[in-house]
Formats: sequence, structure tokens, C-alpha cells
Amino acid sequence: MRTWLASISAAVLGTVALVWATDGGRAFTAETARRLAVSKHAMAVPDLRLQLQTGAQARLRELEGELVVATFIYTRCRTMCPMLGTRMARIRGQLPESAVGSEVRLLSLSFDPARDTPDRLRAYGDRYGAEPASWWVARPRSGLERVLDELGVVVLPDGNGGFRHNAAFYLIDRKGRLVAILDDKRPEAVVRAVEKRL
Amino acid sequence: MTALDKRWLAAGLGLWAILALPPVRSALEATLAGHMVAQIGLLAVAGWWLGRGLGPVPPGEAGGFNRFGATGVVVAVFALIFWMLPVNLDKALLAPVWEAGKFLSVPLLLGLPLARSWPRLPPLARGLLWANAVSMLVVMGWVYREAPVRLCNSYLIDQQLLLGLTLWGLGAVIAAYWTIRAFVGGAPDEGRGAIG
Repeated sequence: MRTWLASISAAVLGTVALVWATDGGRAFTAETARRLAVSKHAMAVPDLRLQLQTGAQARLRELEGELVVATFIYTRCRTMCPMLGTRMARIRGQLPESAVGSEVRLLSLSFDPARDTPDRLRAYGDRYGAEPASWWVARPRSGLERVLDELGVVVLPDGNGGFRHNAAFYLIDRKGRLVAILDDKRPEAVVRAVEKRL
Repeated sequence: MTALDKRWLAAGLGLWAILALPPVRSALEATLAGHMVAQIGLLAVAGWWLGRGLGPVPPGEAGGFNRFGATGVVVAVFALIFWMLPVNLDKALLAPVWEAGKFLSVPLLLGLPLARSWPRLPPLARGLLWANAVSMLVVMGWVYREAPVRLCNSYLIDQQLLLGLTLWGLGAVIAAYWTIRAFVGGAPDEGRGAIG
């Protein structure tokens, strides 16, 4: 009898621990756990000094007051980043024309600032029709590690001079807070999330 | 406490300490297979050795709360499942408190209770656990190999393929061992207790 009670208690406690560690059985990976956490509590995004595809200097904080759809890329990437560019262009095309550039800013941020010079950033942006007024393709001049850490972007060298990285669209609200991490394969969901906040 | 018990205790504590050394820790955690199979496996072995170091298991140990070793096995199974979840492996790499939790819970909640409970388990229960271990390794290996997404943010996707292969290999070794033992090695020696 005592063994039954002890075994059942252990099983209940074990189940509670598993449910707790997986956000109620919803997050078996760190990526989903992070997305759930952000959707529950908006998170301040640290400021960044940026250099844009035009060569101009800018700060992320300048975009406060606008909604920002951000994604992380490096221009030499031949797999995920071209797709991210195409999908960002699709988002750009589906957003109300009046909002783009005034209320919504798109931001493709390089995590390879040493190699991604403004020329390369511009070439990447041109491929997807990024006009600098509404779509910044930028490299950070400082604070990259911190932003990657806080946004949960993992960048690992792939052993061939490139990188492997997790892809997503990051929605930053008008107060400069990260409010959603959205699936990179569903640009239409990003459009809906932005439109809800316009 | 006999000299043999002391040796098991020392071996368990020694292995535990070696695994906690920063170079050993980072070497094992550099790959997903090293992290999940080698590090967590060896931490469980350290706990098992500590459990053996506590001496023979008397029938009334744990005041009747662990008859037939049932409670200990339940605790160990949950500890194992907990540390096979990708989200928890990632957390252990990113947060020191999770890493400390792993280093404490795997030996103390997986290896040690298993060592104290295994000798009391009825043979049928042992067989059931071995059979389940094989099927769990095969299924987990398949999950890691076929997952369309990266399950652990801290590791590349090719690491998942390697882990899947390692889990399959482990499952195959256990299955082969028991097949050979069942059909070639004669009846299992129940008196040996601690291993089989």
C-alpha cells in the first residue's frame, strides 16, 4: 500500500515537473518555449547602432513609434536568407501601402557585420526590392551579441565559412518591445500580426 | 560498510567529480550525442555506483515505500524522460542553475534510485524495462533523425542525425545482447542482481 502511494506520488510529481518544463506540454524545444514566453510578456529590445545599406548611420531606437518587422540574415548565405528576403518582400507587398515606411519598417539585420559591408547589404536589398526608406538592410556596429542573446537568435558557424541560424520574423511594437516571434515560413501570419496593430 | 562498498562509493563520487570538471563538461556538451548519451549516461552511472556503494539492498529498505523497487523505478523513469527533452538540454547549456540541476538530479534521481531498486525488481519487471528501453531508444532515435526542425537551438541539425544514429546503435546493442543471452547464454542468473 505504501509503495503504491509512493509510486503514484512520484508519478504525479514527475508529471508536474514535465508539464512545468514544457509550458504545459506545448514547448518541447527551446525555440517554442521562447516564442510562448514572448507572446505572454513583451520584452524590451536593446538599442543598436546600425549602418544601413546606404552607408548612413542609424540607431534602432530611432524606429520607436513605428512597428518593426525584423529578421536576421548574412548576405553570403545561399539557403535560408534568400528565402527570408523573398518572404520579407512578400510581407512588404501585402502590407497597406500607406503604412509602409511611416508606420511599419522592415529590417533585415546582418549577424556577419565584418563581411557585410554597405555595398553587400545594398546588393542583398536590391535583390528583393528593399527601398531604404521603408526597408533597412543593416549591419550592427555594436551590441550584436546582446541582441542575438535577448531575441534568442542562435548563430553557429557551419564549418564551411558560413553560418547555421534559426530563422523567424520578430515583431517589435511602437515602444521598442519584442511582442511576437513568428514562423519564418508563414509571411501571411506576419502581415496579419502587423495589421492587428495598425 | 565493506571495503568493496567504499570502492563503489569512491568510484561514483570520482566519476561525478570528473564529469563536473570544466574541460570534460564542455567536451561532452560540444555535441548533442555527447551531451545526451555520454554525459547524462555517465552521470547516471555515477549515481548507480553511489547506490551500490551504499551496500546490499535489504528487503525492508525505505520502510516499505519501495517494495519490489517500484517507487525508485518510477522516479528514475521520470528523471530520464525529463533529461531527454530537447528544451531541457538547451536550458542546461544556457542557465547555470539548470546545469547544476542536471548534475544533481541525474545521479541522485536516476542512477541512485535505480541501483537501490533494481535488485528488488521482479524478473518480469526487469524484462519489461529492458524491452521498453530498446523501443524508447529506437523511437527517440527516429524522432531526432526525422524532425523537420532543429530541436536543440544550441546544436546544428547534423548533430541530431548523429544523436539519432547513436540512440539506434545503443538500442541495437541492448537488443543484440539480450537476444544472444536469451538464446545462447542459457538462463539469466537472477542472483547477480545488480546488472541483469
